[in-house]
Amino acid sequence: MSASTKKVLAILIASSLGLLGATSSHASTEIIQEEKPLDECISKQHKLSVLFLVDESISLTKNKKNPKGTDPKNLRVKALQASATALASLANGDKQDRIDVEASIAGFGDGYTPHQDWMSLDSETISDFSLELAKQAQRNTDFHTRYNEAMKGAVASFEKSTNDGDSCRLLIWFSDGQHDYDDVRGLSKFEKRQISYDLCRSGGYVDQLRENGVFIQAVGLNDSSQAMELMKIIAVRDGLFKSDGLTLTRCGEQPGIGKFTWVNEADGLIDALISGEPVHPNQCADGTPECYEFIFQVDETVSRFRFLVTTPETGVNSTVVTAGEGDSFSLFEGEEKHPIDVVTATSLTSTKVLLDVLREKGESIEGHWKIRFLGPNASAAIGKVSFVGDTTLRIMDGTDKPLRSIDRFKTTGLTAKLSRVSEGSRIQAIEFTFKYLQEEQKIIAQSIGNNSFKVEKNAIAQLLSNSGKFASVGSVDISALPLGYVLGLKDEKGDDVSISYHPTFLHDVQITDGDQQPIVKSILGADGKRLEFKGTTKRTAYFTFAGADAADTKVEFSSGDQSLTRNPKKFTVIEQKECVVPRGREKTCQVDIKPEVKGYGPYGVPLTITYTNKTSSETKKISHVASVNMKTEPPVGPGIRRAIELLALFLLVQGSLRAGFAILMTRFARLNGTSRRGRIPVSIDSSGRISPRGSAQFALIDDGYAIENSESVREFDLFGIRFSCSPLRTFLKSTVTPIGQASAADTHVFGSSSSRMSNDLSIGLVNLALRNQWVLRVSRNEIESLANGTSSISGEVVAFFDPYDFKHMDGQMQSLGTSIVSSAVPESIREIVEVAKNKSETHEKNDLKVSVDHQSDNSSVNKNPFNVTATSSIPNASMVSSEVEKPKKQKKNKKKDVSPSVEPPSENKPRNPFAN
Amino acid sequence: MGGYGMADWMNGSVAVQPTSSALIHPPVEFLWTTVAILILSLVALPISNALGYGLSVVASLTGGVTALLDQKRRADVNYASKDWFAPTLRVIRYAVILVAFAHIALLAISAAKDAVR
Repeated sequence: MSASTKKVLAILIASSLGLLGATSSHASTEIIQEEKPLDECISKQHKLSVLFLVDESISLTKNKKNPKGTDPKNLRVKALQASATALASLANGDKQDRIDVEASIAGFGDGYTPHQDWMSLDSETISDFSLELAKQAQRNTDFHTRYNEAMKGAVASFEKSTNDGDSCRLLIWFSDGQHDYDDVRGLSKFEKRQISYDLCRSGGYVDQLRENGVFIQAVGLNDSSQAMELMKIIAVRDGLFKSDGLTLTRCGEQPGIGKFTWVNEADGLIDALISGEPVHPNQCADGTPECYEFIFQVDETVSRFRFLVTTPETGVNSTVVTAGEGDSFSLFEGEEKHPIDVVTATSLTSTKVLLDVLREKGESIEGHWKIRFLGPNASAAIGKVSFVGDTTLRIMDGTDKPLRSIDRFKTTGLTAKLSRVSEGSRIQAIEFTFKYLQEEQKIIAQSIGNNSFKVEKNAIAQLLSNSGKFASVGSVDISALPLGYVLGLKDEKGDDVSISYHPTFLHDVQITDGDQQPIVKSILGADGKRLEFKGTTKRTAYFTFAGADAADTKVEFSSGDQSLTRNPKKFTVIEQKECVVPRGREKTCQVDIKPEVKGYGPYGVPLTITYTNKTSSETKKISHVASVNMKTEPPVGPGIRRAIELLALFLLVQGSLRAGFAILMTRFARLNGTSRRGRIPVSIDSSGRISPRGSAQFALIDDGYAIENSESVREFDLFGIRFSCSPLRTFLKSTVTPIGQASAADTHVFGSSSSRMSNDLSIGLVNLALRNQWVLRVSRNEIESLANGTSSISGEVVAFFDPYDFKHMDGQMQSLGTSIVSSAVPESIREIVEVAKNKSETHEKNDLKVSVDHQSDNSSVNKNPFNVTATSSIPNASMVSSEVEKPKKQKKNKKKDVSPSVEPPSENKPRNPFAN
Repeated sequence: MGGYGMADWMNGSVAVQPTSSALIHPPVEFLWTTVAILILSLVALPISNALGYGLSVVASLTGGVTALLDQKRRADVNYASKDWFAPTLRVIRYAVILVAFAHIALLAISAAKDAVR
């Protein structure tokens, strides 16, 4: 493991990216660790999204093997809280060192339950977050341990986290059991499919997490490490899971980016989740009997350290801490949260206390620290420590100028200069790391005094020369990491305990061949920012070159060697515009790049740039890395689905309401008991004029009580007219003024409700409150007679009246007359008669034409089906009705229907008289 | 209009007018209740779409009840018609549907955004 890796692991104290196994005397721990891109990601991006995913199965408190359960003391909660606290502390510090942390909490068991949405985690919010984590102590009642639900939910949760492609992602996943979906002993067929397909197939949930850049930190609590094998391969991909005939040697196809920690007892959880190097106390230097102590020196470069103090359950009577400046306080005696200003003491269990010592402005943590244990078992006390150093480092070339580029043929060496150190510094050397994708080379710079460390130019030249590791690369990343140790503390191997300093990074340091080739000055996206890929869509990269001094240079791009990249995304060059970089001047060249595989987070795109000297035609290929961010495409599908669900809900609710009211309203309202109805014979002339028939005045016949409407009904018959109403019609048309229909066989019926006319002229419309409503009925044959020249025809008005004791009949007759006069019925009659006349004339012409056609060419009849229609014996009255309904259809089919036999004359083109 | 005249129907009339106390009016109070709920629903647009949608559903209900009551009352001989009532009720009910749709559309957009965040 590289020192830089160690460094960031230490930063992530809480997330258990720690180093070694258990310090507990009786708990077993096993840690399986794959490559860790997370540390590199955090050191570059300074953003982290952490999801705490916690098992909530009942086995935590009760199971067959252990009636008290696997974690009766809820130690997982303490450990997770300690982890969260440490993560929150990453948000402290100087701006350049600060890491933006957002965190979320979810539980799983029977299903996946989010408990805490994504929130910023820092010193201000940690108490709320810890309180939410504390609730996990009560969340332990689920009867299953469904890994598939857990991973599926985690994928969804991370999709809801910051998705800008530059936030690193960490899943802290705790479970005490094996995958169990259905309570069946062993693995059922269903569970086997969930494991092999849902979880572990190529592109399954686990692959989706990896694709989304999620580092999986799995902690399995079980008395058998074999039982947690599935959890292990989910975290690190490779391994051997064997159960009930199902054998998996890997889970998913994407390279595993995770870590698995197994502990056999809950006591080990804290050690598993709090990283650091185990240290043991020495006998007290002053010869005090039954006394052991840690003594260590903290210098001014140390900004923070954590000390997890563990004592045996019995046999230690007193534990006293003496700070660097001489203040003392006791542990395990109900200690205060802040015994002194710089110390935060967190009691995790009765035998474990976590000391977090932080140097803040105006305060010092320098000096000799002492932790002394007194008692017969004092020698069994254990410590677990991690020290974080804080110093500023400047990287310069051999001429003391800030490093920008390195000429491969004229190297001058490298110098690192430290600030904030003095003679007491424990920094002994600087480790330079040259990195091109996954290829890296370390060079140690030794002290040359005055807080400076130097790498000789020969070492650099060897690295970049034709025989060196980076002979044909155009740029490298350089990091410089101080190496320092804590004086006085030794780990279990007897080595000094190291201090983790922040490395200083220089990205894309150009490696030039003197003035022979152009130099890449920047690689940006169209928006002038870092190139960003969403999903697998192509993007245009803008390479800005500084021209070579020697000659104009043609630049060509091609895909680079992807084998050097971790988790290759198969970037390919899609298209490029020819580009010549003029001598001594800047030029921006464009190239379209596309990844074949989705990804998330920062990636290096390997490209090969071929430089062709326009004068000498000499070519040289240089490997370059374009730093890009990748992010997943937003999952549009679920959003659209939810939107459609809501709109469907809207239609359902509104439709149900409308349907309900349509059913309730669509009935003829009950009339007063003495309401009347009767009929009035009328004459109608061709102009639509309606007048009394057989007398000078209108006479009401069959006058009687409206007994048909003494109750609310949906249909009734009156004088041969069928009155009915349809809820469907009300639903479709209007629930404000529902309408009833009146109809009779072979009769045109006109209703008093003129606001809505029926398309079918045999149906009249009336209001459902029949009071003062009327209908006029005229036989179709009578209308036909009128069209054929009869001066007047007979019809009949059927009307409803108010009780005569309420309103005199004469008055009501007068009102009825007014109503008919002001209605559209006379005009409708006139138009119907007009249409009938036109049709009659057309039919006569067609009859004549068909007769001639039959004589001249019989075959033409078969070609024109309308001729047949014209000669058919459809009753004229029916034609009136059907033709009046036709105009709209004819309009639509105007171009197609060219038959002169059915096309009405343009001037008298019939229209539906009730359309208005 | 046709060529008939009012004289054809005229034979004199004497109407018995009902007393005003016996008059039955359209359910105006229900209409105003519907309007009030509609306004509340409208106000909820920038505040809470879920609440606003719930209010618009209630407004739909009261609007429907208003139409139902009016229809029943119309059959009564003492019904005193108000010309503006039915058109106003129609407009209000259309407005209720529009506001309900606006709320549900905003909820849908918000749900879609939540899902893709």
